[in-house]
Amino acid sequence: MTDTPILSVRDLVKEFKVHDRGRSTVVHAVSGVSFDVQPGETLALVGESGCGKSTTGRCILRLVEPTSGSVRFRGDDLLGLGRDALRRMRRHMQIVFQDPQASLHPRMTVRRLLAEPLQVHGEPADVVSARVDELLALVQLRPEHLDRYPHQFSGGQRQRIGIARALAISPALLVLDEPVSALDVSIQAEIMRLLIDLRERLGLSYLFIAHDLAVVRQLADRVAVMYLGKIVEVGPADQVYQSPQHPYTQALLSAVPIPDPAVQQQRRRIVLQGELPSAIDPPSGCRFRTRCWRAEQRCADEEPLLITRKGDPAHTVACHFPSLGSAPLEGVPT
Amino acid sequence: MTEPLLSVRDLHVTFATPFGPVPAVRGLDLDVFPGEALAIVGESGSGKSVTMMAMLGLLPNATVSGSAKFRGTEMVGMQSSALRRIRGRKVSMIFQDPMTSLNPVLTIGRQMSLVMRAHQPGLSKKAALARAAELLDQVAISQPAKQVHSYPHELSGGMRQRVMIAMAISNEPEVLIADEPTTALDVTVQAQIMDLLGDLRREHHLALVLITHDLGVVAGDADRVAVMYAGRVAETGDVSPLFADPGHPYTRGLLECLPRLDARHEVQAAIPGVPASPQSLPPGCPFTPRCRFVVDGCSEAEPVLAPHGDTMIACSVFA
Repeated sequence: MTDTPILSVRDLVKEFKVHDRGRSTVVHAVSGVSFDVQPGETLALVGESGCGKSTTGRCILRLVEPTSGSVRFRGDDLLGLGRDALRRMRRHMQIVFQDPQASLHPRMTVRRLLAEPLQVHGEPADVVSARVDELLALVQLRPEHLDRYPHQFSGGQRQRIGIARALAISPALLVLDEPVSALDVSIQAEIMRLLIDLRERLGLSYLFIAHDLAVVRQLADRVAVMYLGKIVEVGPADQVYQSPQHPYTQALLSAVPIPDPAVQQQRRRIVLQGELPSAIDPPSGCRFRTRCWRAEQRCADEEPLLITRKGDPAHTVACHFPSLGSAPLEGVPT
Repeated sequence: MTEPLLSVRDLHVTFATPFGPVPAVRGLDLDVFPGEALAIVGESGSGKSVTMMAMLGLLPNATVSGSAKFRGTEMVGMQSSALRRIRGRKVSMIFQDPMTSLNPVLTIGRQMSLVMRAHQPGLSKKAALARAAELLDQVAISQPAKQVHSYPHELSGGMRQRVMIAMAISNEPEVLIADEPTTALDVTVQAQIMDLLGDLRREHHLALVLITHDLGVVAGDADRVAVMYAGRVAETGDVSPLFADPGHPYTRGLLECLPRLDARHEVQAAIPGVPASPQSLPPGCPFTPRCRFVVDGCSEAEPVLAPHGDTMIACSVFA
């Protein structure tokens, strides 16, 4: 029997009201997303700009208020909580942002940046001071760094500070929103290494939001692929990467170049036609159908459910015509 | 042996700052041959963009010395009026962020016409606009006759980059320099743009200089590669041998720390420290502070390019 999920999201919807040429309309940013994160697990939420992955992450922490749905942390619903109760829940879940330059206060020293979350949660001064030293060591920064300001650090070091700050109050779950995408490759590898080590040492669960599928492959236990506000495929990472069933997942994976000419020059790139449709007026039925080479009338009439089509019940796909053969690229246009 | 279109020798680019001179490029040699795709790879601050911009006279505040020739004509120190006959005509350039490269208050067609008419004075406004629509069609923008009247903000990021490419090829150049052309774009849009650049290269026999930090793009879309570090070429060669048997410790490290889509592997933090800052370079080889293979001589003299297998490396340990 599986444990209670640490995080359980059901039918999450986020709509933003906007004014478009004088008319009031709605952007359907997240349209009914459901998933679980198990204790100690890393679930990656992947997709391209505008797919709703970051909004989903923010809704979970209620940094933006979801329109509807439920978000349960160890079984407790977060959406009904008042301000104080929500703050107490946030002891257990924290977020790391993409750009530490923007998320760290430029006029606070590292010492204050790391102490602040502890003070907010009412820790006494002696505990704060000891914990700040611990945190610094945890992310491999040195004691002399404590009295410096964010601008005195490199991008990689700043991201270490962002991670330390998120870990200050010993959360069980970290939402990592593109934590390595602003970094040079050599630095990116260091931060990935750090995240892997911390997960093992502290038994953390991660919701890892990223667009870089090569990075995700190295960190994720399971992967959920989003397109235009919906999850189109979710499953154990190896299965999603090796036998993607949804046409969008196939196109996405085929577009990521592999840094090995002997392999890359033999690969077939599925080049998607057209543009991402507007989230103000998403297509009926399957939202990917306007760019899909397998689309038929049914795809416009009937929304595909996220269900198991073949093999492992943990691998689900929302497609009327998924690829279920051993050759994942069968029937792909050239 | 074919003559190179672009030939750069011992190029130096230095910026004067309140904190003293910053040498961004320090003695760079590079050739670009007709029809080839050359990738210039490096991390932030390696000098990869500065090299190309300095060559085309796009850095008026930098001190540029050395030689950069287009078909034998020296461009360093050239009068700006003469340089303008090469830049945008024979050698054109596109940048990472098409939104900041396009003028937000002019229609796409008008901007494209301006670029064409600057180099082809005989071209009428009407003919230029018609040609603009043809070019948009070539870069696979649907309804080109209608889109010439669009403003940049009405287009998606991928479409804006297509417009930039259409503009860059509008005067039928021989060399297209693409500076991180897909970095700001999603990966499926990147695939569309790289496909387009490949097609145009074949159809127009265009040489492509691809400035990028993405070794995946290099593996798939380039013939040759120059890896830059601290304003110099650390390693250069054909793509296949360079990936199969990298010689320079920096190239080795870069390839080791890259995450791969096709395998779950141990993530290696293979290059410790941070990229060298041109303000404070160490003596000798600039990679010394991050290098696993340092020997006594490394901090004394800066190595020059020498053969290693099928590539050229600037390293005194492995060359």
